[in-house]
Amino acid sequence: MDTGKMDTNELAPEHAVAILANDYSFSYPNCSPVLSGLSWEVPEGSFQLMIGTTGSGKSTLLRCLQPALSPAGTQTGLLRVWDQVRSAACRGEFDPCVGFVSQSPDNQLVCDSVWHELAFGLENQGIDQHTMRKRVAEVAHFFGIESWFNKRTDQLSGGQKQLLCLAAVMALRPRLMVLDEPTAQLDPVAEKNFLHALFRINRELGVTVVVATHNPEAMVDYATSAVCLSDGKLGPVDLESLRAGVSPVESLRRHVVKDGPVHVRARDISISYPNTSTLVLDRCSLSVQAGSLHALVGGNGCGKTTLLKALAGVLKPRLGQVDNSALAHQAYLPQNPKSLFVCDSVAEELKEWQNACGYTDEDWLAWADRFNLLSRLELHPFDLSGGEQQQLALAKLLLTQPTLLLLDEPTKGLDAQAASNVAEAVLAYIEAGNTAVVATHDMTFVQLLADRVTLLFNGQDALTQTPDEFFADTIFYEPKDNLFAQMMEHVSYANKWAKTYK
Amino acid sequence: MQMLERTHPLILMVYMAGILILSMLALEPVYVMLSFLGALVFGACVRGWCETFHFIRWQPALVAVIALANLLFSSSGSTELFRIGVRAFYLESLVFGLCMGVLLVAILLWFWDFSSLLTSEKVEAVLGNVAPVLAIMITMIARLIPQFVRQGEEIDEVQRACSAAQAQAHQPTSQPPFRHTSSRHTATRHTPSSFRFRQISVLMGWTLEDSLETAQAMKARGWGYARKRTTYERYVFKKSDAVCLLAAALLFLACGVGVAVAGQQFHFYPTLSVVWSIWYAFAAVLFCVPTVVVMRGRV
Repeated sequence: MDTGKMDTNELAPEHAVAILANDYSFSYPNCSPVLSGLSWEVPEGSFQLMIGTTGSGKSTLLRCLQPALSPAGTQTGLLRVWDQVRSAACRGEFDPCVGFVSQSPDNQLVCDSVWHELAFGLENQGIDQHTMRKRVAEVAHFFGIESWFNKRTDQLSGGQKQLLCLAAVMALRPRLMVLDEPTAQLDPVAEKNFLHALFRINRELGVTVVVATHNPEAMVDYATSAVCLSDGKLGPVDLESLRAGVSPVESLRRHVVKDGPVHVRARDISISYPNTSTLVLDRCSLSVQAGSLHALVGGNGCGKTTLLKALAGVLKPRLGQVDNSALAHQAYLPQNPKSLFVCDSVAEELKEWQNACGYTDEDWLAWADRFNLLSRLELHPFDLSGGEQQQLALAKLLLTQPTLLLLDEPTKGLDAQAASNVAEAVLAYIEAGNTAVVATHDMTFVQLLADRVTLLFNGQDALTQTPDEFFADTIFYEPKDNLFAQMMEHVSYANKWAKTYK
Repeated sequence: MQMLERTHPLILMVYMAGILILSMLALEPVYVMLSFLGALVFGACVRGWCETFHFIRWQPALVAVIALANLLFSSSGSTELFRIGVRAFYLESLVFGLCMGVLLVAILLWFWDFSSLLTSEKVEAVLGNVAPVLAIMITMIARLIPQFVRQGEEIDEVQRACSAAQAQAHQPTSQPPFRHTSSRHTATRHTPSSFRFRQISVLMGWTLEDSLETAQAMKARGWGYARKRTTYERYVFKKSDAVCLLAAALLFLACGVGVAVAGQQFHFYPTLSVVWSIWYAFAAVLFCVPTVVVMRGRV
């Protein structure tokens, strides 16, 4: 009897399997299978990365783990989370063992205050007052939320919001934490912060973690294993192969614009946050030369978006002035492309400004082809993936033939393929002699495409340099030799080839 | 101020309700003046004299309008002020109108005073135990409205910023951009109303899309899992709170009796009859307590 007990105790950690899938298939109603004959085993306590292209079914698979979120469709084979089998019958039932965090920090928050957000899940479960207080206090302490516990959720930064989402789920004491692109909307610092918290949950609290991501190189150090989902099947991936390369990233510009007429200029502008006297920009200046790509970099809340809007003439500075010679011929790509979509289908969206701008059907079809949207023309823009939405928005703007393009985080949250499509289009746009101002956290993008970089810090333009000068002695702001950079290299070869032989 | 902010929201709500009900029931000059003065001083305590003055600066006009209207339309009373033709205008009628006006201002002031203390969060904390679903609805609405407004502003800015789509119609692109301004095709430009309509449709689509995601996030945290939802009680109702509530209830009772008794003795018409009685003292205490609590907290 005693020995038997000892045996199970000894064996338990070795054999405990958090997720087990065997010949598991899933298909949406009237569609071909998204997942087919998939096998998967995640040992308890592991930190697994899941990669795969957009539309490979990562989200579907992850949602199937939490029956409350599992999509409608037919499934065959076995999917088990510990000893609970995920069958069609249990769809819609909530399993407290599985925590789920998705991409958007804003849309995941339910309540107006931080404390209520933390308590929300516990309230749903009808947990008594004492337990609830204990758990809320515990997670608030663990994640260091005490200092902003009494704040309203709309006062938080994106990073804080996402951390709050994680904490609110952790208050429910899940044993498995499933995350779908949790850091896609975060800036690099907030991303690191979030990953640290995730790492601590995994190693200190022993929670099994599965993360789907487009950006594995940031997470490699935390992970214990990685898998890739393609053609409906999972295959193992070597963690080391996911690390960023070491070769330097070279600019793709044929000739960097050094001097030229100034297209857009801001002179000592000051702008404050709405309804406050706190200044976002404090006597900030900027000169953008015609035909150049000017990148704005800096931490979260340093005023990059505010400066872009001021240049576009939609935010009036309290002091100073903006001269924009392209004021009537500009286009602005916001952080969230949804604010640009008005129509019910992708095709209508691309045709929307056809009368006003006089482009032909061939023009917009060419853009749809270039961004692989031809098969999506009938879909609603909101049904596209994040990357496709971004490409659609960019195509829509470029069709208006603006002479000035203002881009706010054009590659944020995109997979390498989508990011390189966007970057390629922007490159072609600049090479044609147009001007662009880009606010971004993506240093690789800056190194590849920019003529000038302005670092915004403390409300001012701290310095303006060429990318080579700027990246010469930085330790954190650094272009990475990631998949995006490697894809862009091929793009540039293809471009050069096309140009040489035309 | 801090003391009041830390008071259990139930007491705040009950006290506010008591003050409002008593003010409305006791339509006679002494009560109205007490209520008005109490609200004014309390407002100055919680919001500052400047802001209070700013709030009431146009209210005398309101009082005057009500007083005049009553004077013109109600010809009751005994003290004749003046006569136009056969129509007499009486002092009592004027005083009644003045009382009505001041009462209205006093009630507005009380609401304004307490709204700085009773945040949506506190209202929700009180409701939470009675109607948990209503409470969660309030908190979600409190989150959604600012988000809705922010997204609306964002859409407005984005649509305005994409000027290339609205201005240049059939222009050769080789022309320098700044010469375009004079030759815009007015026919293709959006009229303001269609522009607004477009913005609203974008906002609706965006918000609906976001709310689907929020619904998923709610499900992911077990919305509807337990048959009975509980509510996280941020404010613990302590013994001292119960004592406060009891004291307040006694005070309300005394004032209520006072109003009933004084109401029998007092009448506007035909002659004003203000009879001083001890009952007024209770009302004075009632209207002063919030100020006293704030002042004590400052000492």
